[in-house]
Amino acid sequence: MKARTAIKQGLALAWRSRSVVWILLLANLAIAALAALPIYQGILRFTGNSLMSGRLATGFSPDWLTDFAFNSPGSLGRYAGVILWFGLLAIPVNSILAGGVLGRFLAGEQKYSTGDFFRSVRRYAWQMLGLMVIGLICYWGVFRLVNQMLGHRADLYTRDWLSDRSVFWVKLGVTVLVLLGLLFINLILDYARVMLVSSEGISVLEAFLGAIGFSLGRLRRAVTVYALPALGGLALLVVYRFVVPWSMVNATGGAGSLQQYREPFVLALLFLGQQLIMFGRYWFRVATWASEWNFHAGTRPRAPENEPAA
Amino acid sequence: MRIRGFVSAAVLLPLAFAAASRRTPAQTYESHIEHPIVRYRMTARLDPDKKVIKGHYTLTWWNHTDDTIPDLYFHLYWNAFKNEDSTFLRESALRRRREEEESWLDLPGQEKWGWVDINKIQIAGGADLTALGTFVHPDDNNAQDQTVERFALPEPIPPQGSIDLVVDFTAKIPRALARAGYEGNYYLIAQWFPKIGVYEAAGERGRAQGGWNCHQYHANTEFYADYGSYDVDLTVPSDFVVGATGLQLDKRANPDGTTTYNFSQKDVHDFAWTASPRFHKLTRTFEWNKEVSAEEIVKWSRILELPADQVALRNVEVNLLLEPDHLNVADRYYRAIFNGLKYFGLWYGQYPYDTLTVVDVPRESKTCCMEYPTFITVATSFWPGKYGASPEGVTVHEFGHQFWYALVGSNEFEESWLDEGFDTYSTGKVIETAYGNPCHYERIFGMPVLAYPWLDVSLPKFPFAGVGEIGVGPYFSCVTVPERTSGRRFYLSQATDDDLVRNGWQYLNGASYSVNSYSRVGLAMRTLESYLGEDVMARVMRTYQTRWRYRHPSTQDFIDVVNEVSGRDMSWFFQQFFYSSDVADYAVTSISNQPVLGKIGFYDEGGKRVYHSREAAEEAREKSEQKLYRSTVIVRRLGGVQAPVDVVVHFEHGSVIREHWDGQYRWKKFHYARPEKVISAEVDPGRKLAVDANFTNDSRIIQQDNRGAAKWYVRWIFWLENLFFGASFFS
Repeated sequence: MKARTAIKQGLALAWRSRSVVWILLLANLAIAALAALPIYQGILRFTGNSLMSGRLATGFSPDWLTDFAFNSPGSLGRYAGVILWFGLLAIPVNSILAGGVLGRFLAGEQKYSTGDFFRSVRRYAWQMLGLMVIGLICYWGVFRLVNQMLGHRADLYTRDWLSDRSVFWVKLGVTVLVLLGLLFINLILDYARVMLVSSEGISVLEAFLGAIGFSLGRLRRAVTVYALPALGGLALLVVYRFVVPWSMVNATGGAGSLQQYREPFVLALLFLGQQLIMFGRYWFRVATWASEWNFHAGTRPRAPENEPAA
Repeated sequence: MRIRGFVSAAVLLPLAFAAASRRTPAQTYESHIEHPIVRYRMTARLDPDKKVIKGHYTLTWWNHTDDTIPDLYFHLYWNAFKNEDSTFLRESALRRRREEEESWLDLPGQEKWGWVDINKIQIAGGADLTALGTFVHPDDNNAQDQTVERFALPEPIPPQGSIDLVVDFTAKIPRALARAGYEGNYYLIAQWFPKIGVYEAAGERGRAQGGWNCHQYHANTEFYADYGSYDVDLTVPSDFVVGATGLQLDKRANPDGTTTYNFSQKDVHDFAWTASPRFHKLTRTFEWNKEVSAEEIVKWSRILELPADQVALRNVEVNLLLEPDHLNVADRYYRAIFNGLKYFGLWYGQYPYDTLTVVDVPRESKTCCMEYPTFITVATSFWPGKYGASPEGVTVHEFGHQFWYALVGSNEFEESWLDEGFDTYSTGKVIETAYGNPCHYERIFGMPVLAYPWLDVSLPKFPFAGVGEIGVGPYFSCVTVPERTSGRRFYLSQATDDDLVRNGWQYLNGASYSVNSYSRVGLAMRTLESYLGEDVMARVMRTYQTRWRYRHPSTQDFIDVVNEVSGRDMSWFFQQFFYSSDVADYAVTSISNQPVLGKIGFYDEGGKRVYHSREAAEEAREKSEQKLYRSTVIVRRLGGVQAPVDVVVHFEHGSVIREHWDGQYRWKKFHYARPEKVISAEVDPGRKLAVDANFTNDSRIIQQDNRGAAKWYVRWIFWLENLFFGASFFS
């Protein structure tokens, strides 16, 4: 199957699977909102009774951050800890939710309710977690081998170089290798997930090894199918970067009966816009999986046909 | 005074500009010192294979005091790198240079060590003193330290007498550490020769009696030396490019493949040089009449109450020795230097020397960011971000030391704040004037990233090893930090560890040294400026600089100038901010508004006892057109620092009352009975106290405002969603 065909079909399948995108979005929004809640409470407690709150509403204030860091000792460290733990939670949560998304592809044209989604989640949960563990080991291997060992070697090798430009290129080379290694592992895991759901009775290890063989066997197409929809998600961030009118967001409301509602209204619009971007990012992620699903389905070696009767 | 300033500006300005156009950039320096204390005539030869300098000098040293002096003290700074028992390396293990020192100690082989030996020291035409030398340890009794050597003299030097010495020395160049040394074929040679200490007379810098001021080399401290002249011949391989203190007067090729350069400079207290075949040498002239407008001369003539010719600058030849990778940064370097020459010159007096040499050091050379007379070291990357303050910040700062170190020769061992702190303050003023507030944080998608400014997380070197050398943010956009208060976060982290005025090696640790030498002083000077007013502060700094050029002032000398020029006794200020480790923190802690209901209870009226019920009072208030409130605002002094502050109280419907509080007692209540409620109050609304530990509690409002928290919550949610989206990559 051609990569273009797989992506085209994938985008169509993802369009039909918008309901699962909502589930991904809401689950991750909940995690993010919980992780950010201590920050909100901290800012409000420290700043809510000060004129500084109004200044903070118009943008970032380094002076305020200094005040906060010094006068709420440990708070910033605690927030970092909370974010770290929620970030770690996001990994298995998304891993498990992937089972529900792929179950949607397996259902094809059949009706796929929220209940069906969570039934698929439950059905593939342990396999997805197993794959996640294998993936984490591989990621760790890339970090350990390429990033730390090779990076350390590069450090030693360039330690006495006087030219910062040369050192930069050497170290950038290491970084590129790290990123390529991580992306390749991610690609393998994506196809392994597809194989786990699409092939009945296959073990996690078989899926993982099978995905390696499958991807290496048609590397260019496999990478294209993996990368192009994912780039769409990144493009959305660029759109966000240039579209949001920060001067309007940072403006404070004036006096007057309607003006007092302006700030909350603009903030709500910002929030909705942000969630639209996130919906788009998750949709492109689902589109990536859907493309891979189609590519795998359309490229699998067919069973040999029976010899015609004599 | 001001009118006279304008008139003189109008008359003298054309003359000053005309004089500028006639000047040639070289060899115009005329000495400002009637009787220099030191005169060095030196030759030195670099052996790059052995990493050794063979040197010879004659030194004429003048006893400017009324004391009879029986001995001489010399600094042998490079003995700090002789072994791990030197005071420098012992202290480095605990202080700010620990990381730098550890990587240096990890270097293999013997070549990294450095030292300096006096092979022979002799009175010219007289006694050989070599055997009379003993190492002394005035600061810490570390018997292993060999950075100060005392020579007993067979005959004491009489008052106002002088001595001529002939010295042969060998300096083994260390692998670069702490300002000097070699990396590959790059050499930065500083504090390299046996250098005589400073003999201070009774009364100088507050001394009760005369004596040598010659401290050991410490991990935190810098240097101190007397003014005089240096005339130095440097012999290096001919393919090396050389830069040094002073003006290059001669260059001659030798038959052995070396070249000898002669550099000479009067009225300086040190001599440093560099050599490397890697350098690209650029030379441009700071033409002051192109850089400074007539309006600026008039403006500063008026502010400083000086005639225009005293505000006029002079042309300076600026040599830039660039790393080959950094040719693209040359214009930024020059712009920074020219801004420094312009603003430091306008504010504190013209840079008097003919030349300035700027050395762009190679990466990892550990020689960056140092100052020597007419010679500074700076650094950048091959691709500095458009919005970043590199190389501007460090370049202006190191240039600023020409004023606060080279021209005003404070004792960096004992009062580091007088040079580093003044320079921090002055650099900030130049940067904000010439460039605006600098970028400190990166910003992407409206959020200050990489979360570092928000969260206490150590950013891992990996996985971004490659780009770790260059910050990402300054290429796109950034979050600016007001230069005035940019040092607060660092200052507050060590605010109560030490008094500001203290010997450099006696601070609690390296961070405390840095806070009390740099950021805290910058903040305190901004605070002083707020109390005095910008124009008065400008006159204070100008007077201090011109009065103490080529001399050694102390903290008290600066305080005396502040009191004299401002016409106010500011001793309280220095007691609070310089001789104490207390923090300043004023806060509005409470606002209350009670409705005034009128009479409630029994009152003697017309000879009768009359009862007024609460209900009746409330009803009367309801009907009344003028409802009164009894309001109270409580302002507290939460920190130890006592300073006068203003308090602004805002009422409903826009009326404002400004109060003043002497800030002495722990709290102050302000009472009002007015028809409007107090809606907010703010102490120190003009932020005079740049050192205040908490600007947020300076103000208080009666109704909680969650706008700031809500806006940042929404942004954090989005940012974390994207962060977790990235994390789920690993799922």
